[in-house]
Amino acid sequence: MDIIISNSSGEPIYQQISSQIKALILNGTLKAGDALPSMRTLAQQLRISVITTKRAYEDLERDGFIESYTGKGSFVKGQNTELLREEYLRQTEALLTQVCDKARQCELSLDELKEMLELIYGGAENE
Amino acid sequence: MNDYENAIEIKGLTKRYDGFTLDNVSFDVPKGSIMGFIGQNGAGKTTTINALLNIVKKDEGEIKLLGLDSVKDEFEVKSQIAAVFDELPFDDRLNANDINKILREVFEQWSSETFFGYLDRFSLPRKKKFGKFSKGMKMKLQIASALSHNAKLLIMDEATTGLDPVVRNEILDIFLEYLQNEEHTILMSSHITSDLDKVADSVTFIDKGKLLISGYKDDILDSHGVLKCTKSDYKEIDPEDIISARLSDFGAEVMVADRAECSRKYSGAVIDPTTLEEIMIYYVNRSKKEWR
Amino acid sequence: MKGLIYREFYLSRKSFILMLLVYVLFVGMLSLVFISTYAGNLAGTEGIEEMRSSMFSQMYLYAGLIAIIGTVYGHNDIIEKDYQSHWQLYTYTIPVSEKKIAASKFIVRGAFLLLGMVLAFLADIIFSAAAKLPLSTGHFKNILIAGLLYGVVCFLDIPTMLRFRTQAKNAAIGLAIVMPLFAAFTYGAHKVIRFGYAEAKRLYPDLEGDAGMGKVLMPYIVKYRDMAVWIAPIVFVLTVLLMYIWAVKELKRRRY
Repeated sequence: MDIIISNSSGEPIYQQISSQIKALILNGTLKAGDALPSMRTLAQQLRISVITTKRAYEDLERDGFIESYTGKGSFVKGQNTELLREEYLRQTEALLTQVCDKARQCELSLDELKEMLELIYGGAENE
Repeated sequence: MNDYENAIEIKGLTKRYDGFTLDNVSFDVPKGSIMGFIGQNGAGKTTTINALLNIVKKDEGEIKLLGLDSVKDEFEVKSQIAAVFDELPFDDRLNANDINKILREVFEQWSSETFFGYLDRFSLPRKKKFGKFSKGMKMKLQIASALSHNAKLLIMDEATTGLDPVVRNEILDIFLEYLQNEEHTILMSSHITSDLDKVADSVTFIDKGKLLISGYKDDILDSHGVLKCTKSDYKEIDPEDIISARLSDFGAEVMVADRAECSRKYSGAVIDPTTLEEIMIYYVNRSKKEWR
Repeated sequence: MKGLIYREFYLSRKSFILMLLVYVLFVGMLSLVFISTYAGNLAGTEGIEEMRSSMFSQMYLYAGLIAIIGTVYGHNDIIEKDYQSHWQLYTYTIPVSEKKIAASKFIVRGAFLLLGMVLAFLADIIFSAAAKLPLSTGHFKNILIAGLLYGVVCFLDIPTMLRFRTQAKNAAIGLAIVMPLFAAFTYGAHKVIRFGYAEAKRLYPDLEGDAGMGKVLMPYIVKYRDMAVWIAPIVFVLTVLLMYIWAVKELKRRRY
């Protein structure tokens, strides 16, 4: 399992960890039942605080991606499609926000944007 | 055995000297964590640590180490902790073999095997007198002896100051390894905050004998930030939000304690994430408010 | 405590070995001189018998001083070095009580002192054998008193060094206190000698200068010396106890 954190990205480290682990789960690298490294080991290897890894794991558990058992460790939870869909929806929203920002920057109107969207989305369906 | 949540509990610690007072310092260090104790030279770090170890007598306050009273249960406490100072406190005429012979009679839980294991790992010679050791070797030796009697709490006073970055790195790795056991805790005082930026779980700032901040390092780093703006914009900033500000010919840099709030209030301003070192510098200058 | 004792012995060993060498050389050479007064080069020279007995009555003192002062010497600076190396600071962080820390110092110093006195007695026995002169209880008594007196100084040194930390400071304060006492003592001795001369003039007008004074004062000296033999050990033990209590108190005071 590879985790890469950037100290200069401005995004809190615990978030970087939880989103990377989420991605690994979503793309199937980490499968249901796989054991995650302990919070302490991860902290030691990445040379960060245990509190940080704890927070990342807590977030992942809260969002339903992993399950933690005291004394045993943390394991990837079997994913149901509902959760997956929610996650993908969230990601889509975030990307759309970026698209709108960019559109405004180059003064693209909403209608022009919708046109572009239909072309691209429709185009994808025809593939 | 004793059950406790905080490896160190300090309440209202006060110690008066001529010309310096450690004033009503309180903070806790949770078991299994590493706390960075930060402050300038002379801010009171050593005095606090000396009070913890009962090297000086506190004037007021209560200190609990590993759930035990630091004065009443002094003996028991000391068999379970290890202190590391910035200088090797073993006579220059002794060597590692001698220290092993001496300390195995002092500590009930001393393990010669563990000690020599660390010596080998650090490539420290057993028969060379300490007078011939380099600074880095001396510190590694101190740490080797600190880790060889099953101590549950490591208290370090400026242990990494004066070491080159490579050695410091090696030593930090050893500390992280030590912390893999949840029963182990570390308190380390330092003014080299870059080490603590990464690995500390919590941080306590002390300045001129008073406690400034104490909390989780992540929270402190995430909530503080340096707002950069023009000098005219700077005048618009609510003084309540400012810890202190550094003015130059080209603008102002302002340390704020609530980054999220400030980025909302002063939208469009650049607020950079910060380091413990910057936080320390800006806080130390807080009475000046504006400085260069 | 065992570890602390081992440490102090180990650190004092070089001085001790040096002293031992000097002692062996001194005692060896003088014994040879003694032997040569009847079996060697000096045999038969005029006045050799007197020289031998006068040597015997003095040399044991020098050998004794080398032995007693020399054995303890290596341990004298241990407290100063402990403060300098921060070992003293370190001992406050280990599970050893102040009583044990103080006790270890007293035990080591006492052991050296005892060893020194044994070596002093030994030197006298060797000289008596070499000079073929009978053992003198007077010598033993003198060695005992000298050892106990020096012992008092040695043990006083422990709590004062703990207090003052450097030998320079300790010596300065020590001198400040001892100087007036020493002046009084010198004055008193001067008076006694004057008295001796006066009495000698009266009682032994035909004896020359020092001999007469010696004859007058000797009985007094012997009498008081014999009293001292009984008093000295008691004073010594009391002093050691008091010094120990002071040392423990000083350690507990934590002057940092």
